[in-house]
Amino acid sequence: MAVAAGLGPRLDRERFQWSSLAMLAPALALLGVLFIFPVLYSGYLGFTDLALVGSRSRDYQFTGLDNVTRMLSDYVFIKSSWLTIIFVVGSAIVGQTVLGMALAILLRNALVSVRAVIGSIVIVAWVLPEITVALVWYAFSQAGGTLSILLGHTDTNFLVAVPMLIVSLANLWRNVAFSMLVFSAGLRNLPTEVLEAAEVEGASAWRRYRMVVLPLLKPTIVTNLLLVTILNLSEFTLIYAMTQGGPGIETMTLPLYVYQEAFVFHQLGYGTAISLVLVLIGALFSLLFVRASRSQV
Amino acid sequence: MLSEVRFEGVHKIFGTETAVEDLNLRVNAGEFLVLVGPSGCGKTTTLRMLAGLERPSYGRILIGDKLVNNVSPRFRDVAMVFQSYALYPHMNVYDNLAFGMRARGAAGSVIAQRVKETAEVLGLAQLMKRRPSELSGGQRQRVALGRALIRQPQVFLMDEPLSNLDAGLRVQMRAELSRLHERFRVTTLYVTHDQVEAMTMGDRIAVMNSGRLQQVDAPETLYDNPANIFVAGFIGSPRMNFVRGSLTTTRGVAAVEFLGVTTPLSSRAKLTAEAADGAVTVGLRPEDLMWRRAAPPESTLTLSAEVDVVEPMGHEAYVTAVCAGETVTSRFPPRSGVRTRDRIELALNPARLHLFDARSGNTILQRPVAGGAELPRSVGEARVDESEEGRSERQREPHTRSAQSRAEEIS
Repeated sequence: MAVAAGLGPRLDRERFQWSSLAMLAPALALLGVLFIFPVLYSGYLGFTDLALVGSRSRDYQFTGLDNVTRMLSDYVFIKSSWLTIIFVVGSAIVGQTVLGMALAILLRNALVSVRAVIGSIVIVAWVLPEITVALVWYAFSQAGGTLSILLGHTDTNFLVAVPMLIVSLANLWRNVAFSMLVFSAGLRNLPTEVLEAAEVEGASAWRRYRMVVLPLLKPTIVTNLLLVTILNLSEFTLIYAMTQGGPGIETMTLPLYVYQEAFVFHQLGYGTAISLVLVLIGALFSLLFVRASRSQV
Repeated sequence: MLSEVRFEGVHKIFGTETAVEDLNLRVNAGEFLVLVGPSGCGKTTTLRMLAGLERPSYGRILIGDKLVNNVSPRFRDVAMVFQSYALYPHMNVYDNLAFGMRARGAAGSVIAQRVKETAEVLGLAQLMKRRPSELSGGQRQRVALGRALIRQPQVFLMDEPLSNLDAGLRVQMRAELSRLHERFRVTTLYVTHDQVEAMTMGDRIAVMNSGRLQQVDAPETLYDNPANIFVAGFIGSPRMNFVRGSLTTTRGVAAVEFLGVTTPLSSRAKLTAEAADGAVTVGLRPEDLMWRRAAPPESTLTLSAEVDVVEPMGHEAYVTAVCAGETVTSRFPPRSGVRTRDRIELALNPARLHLFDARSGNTILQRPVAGGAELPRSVGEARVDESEEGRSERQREPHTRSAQSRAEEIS
C-alpha cells in the first residue's frame, strides 16, 4: 500500500490521552500494591532461605541458585513434578476435555427432558464443595465401598491400591461440568447452516463431527484446555482431603508439596521456589496450546 | 434421473405458530419452481421440510414416488444452496466441492474429475486452493452452487441464494442460474422474497403468504390474472394501485365506477360467481394507467389528476398523482416535463382493470389470458395445477368455493 507522502502525521493515529492517567491512577495503585508487587516479591523470595518461624523468618538472605540445586537433587520434588503432569494431562487435559465435549455433543442432540436432567446432575457435581466430593470419593473407593463391590474386590482399598487414579477420577467427576459448559457454549456458536449443509450433503454423524464440528470447535478446545490446565495445576483441596499426598508420596502433586515444605516444614523460601516451578509448568502448557491454535485456521 | 416433488396436505407447526398450513404443491420433474412471498410466509420452512431439516407436522412429502417424511437429509439425494452459502470455512474450495462426494464414498479419481468439470462450468478453476474467507461474495456463491451441482442430485433446493449479493452481481447470477438450469434440467425449488427473481427465473411461481399457498402459475399468468389482492400487490413493481369502486349490473351489463368514472366491463372478461353488486376493490397496474398524451387509442377512459411526486428512473418515470381523492402511481415516458402540482390527464384501457371482492380480496373478474391458444406448454400445465390447488383450497375455505369453480368453468 502506498502511503500518502508529505501530508504530515496521520490525523486518525491512536493517541494516549494524558488526562486519562488521573482516572486510571487509583486502579493502577491498587494493582501495583496488591498484585504486581506481591508477584515480583514472591519471585524474589523463591531465591532466599526465608523460614516461617525461627531466626530465618527475620534474617533471611538471598541464596542465589541454592533452592534450584536443591530441587534438582530432591527426589520428592521430581516425583511430585511428574505426578502433577500426570494429574493435569490425565484428569484435566484428556479426561475432562474429552468427556466434557462428549457430554456437550450428546446433550445437544438429546431430548429436552434428558438434557435438563443429565445436565443438572453433572453441574451439581461441580457445585458441590470440594470437601464433600472428597468425602464421597473417599467412601466410594474404600475397602467394602461401592467401587470395590462393583469390581468384585471387596477387600481392596482402591485409594491405597491406585491412589493417583482414584484422585484423578474424583477430580474429573467434579470438574467435567466446567468443560461441558464451555463446549456447550462453543457448539451453540457453530454456524447451524454449515452443519446442516454437511448433513444434506450426505455426511454421516461421525464424518460431520470429525470433518466439520471438530475443526470449527478448535478455538473452543484451546480455550478449554488453557482454563482447565490452569485450574487443575493448582488443585489442592480435593487431593489433600482424600490422601494428604499419600500413601507415602503417591499423590503428592506440587501444590501439596509446596504446602508441606512451606507450612509443615516451615521452609517458605524453598516452598516459594517450588511454586515458581508450578508457574513455569503452567506457562509452558499455555504456550503449547496457543502455538497449536495458531498452526492452522 | 428427473424426479417430481409433491407436498400433500403438509402443515408445519412451531409451538403455537403455524408456519405452513395445508400445503398442496407439485414441482414437476425438471421444472424450476420459484416459491415467493414476504418474510415469515413459510417458504423457507417449506424448503427445509423438503431437505429434511424440518419434519412436517402433518401431511406427506414425496420425491419421485418415495415418501420421504422420515428419511434423513443424507439419504434424500437433494442438494441445497443456503442463503449464507454455508461453506466449510476451514476447507479450501477444492475440499468444499469434494466434501459431498467424499461423504458418499466416491473414488478419488472420480472426485477429482467431477471437481474439475464443475469448477470449469462455474469459473472456479483458479481458486481451488483458497479458503472461503479469501473469496468475494460472488465467488462464494459460485462455490455453494458448485457444491450442489457436483453431486447431480434429484432435486435442487435454493434458499434465497442471491440475496447477499450486490445488485449488479445479482442480475448476472440470475442469468447464470437460469442457464445452468437450462443445461442440467434438475428439478429445482427456489425460494426468494424478490418478485423480480421469481418472474425472471421461474417456469412457474408459487406465491405464499402467512403460511398459505395463494396461487401457482406461470409468471405471465400470475401477472395478468392474480387470484387475489395479495398476489396482485406482491407481483409487479411499482405495485398495483388499489382504489375503491362499486359494481352495478343493469339489464345484464356489469359496469364499475371508480375514481369518478364509470365503465362497462369488457365483454371478453367474465365475472366470477362471488361477484355481487356493491363495493369492490379496483386494481390498476401503473403501466396501464398512462399519460393521456402518450396513451394508445384503446385507453378510452380519461381521468383528471394532480401530480404529487415524480420519480425519474431514466428510461421512464413513476408519477404519483391524486385522482378523485385516491393516490395512484402511473408509468410515464421519460422527460415528460410533468412537475409536482401540475394538473394532468391519465388514460386507462378498461380491458386492463382488475376487480377484487372488497371483503375477501379474491378476484371477481376473470380476464382472457393474453395470447389465447398460443400458450406455452408450461402455462397450460400450470393452469391444471392451479385448479388442483383450488380444490384443496376449497376444502378449507367455503367462501372461495363458488369463485374458484366458476373460474374453472370459464377457463
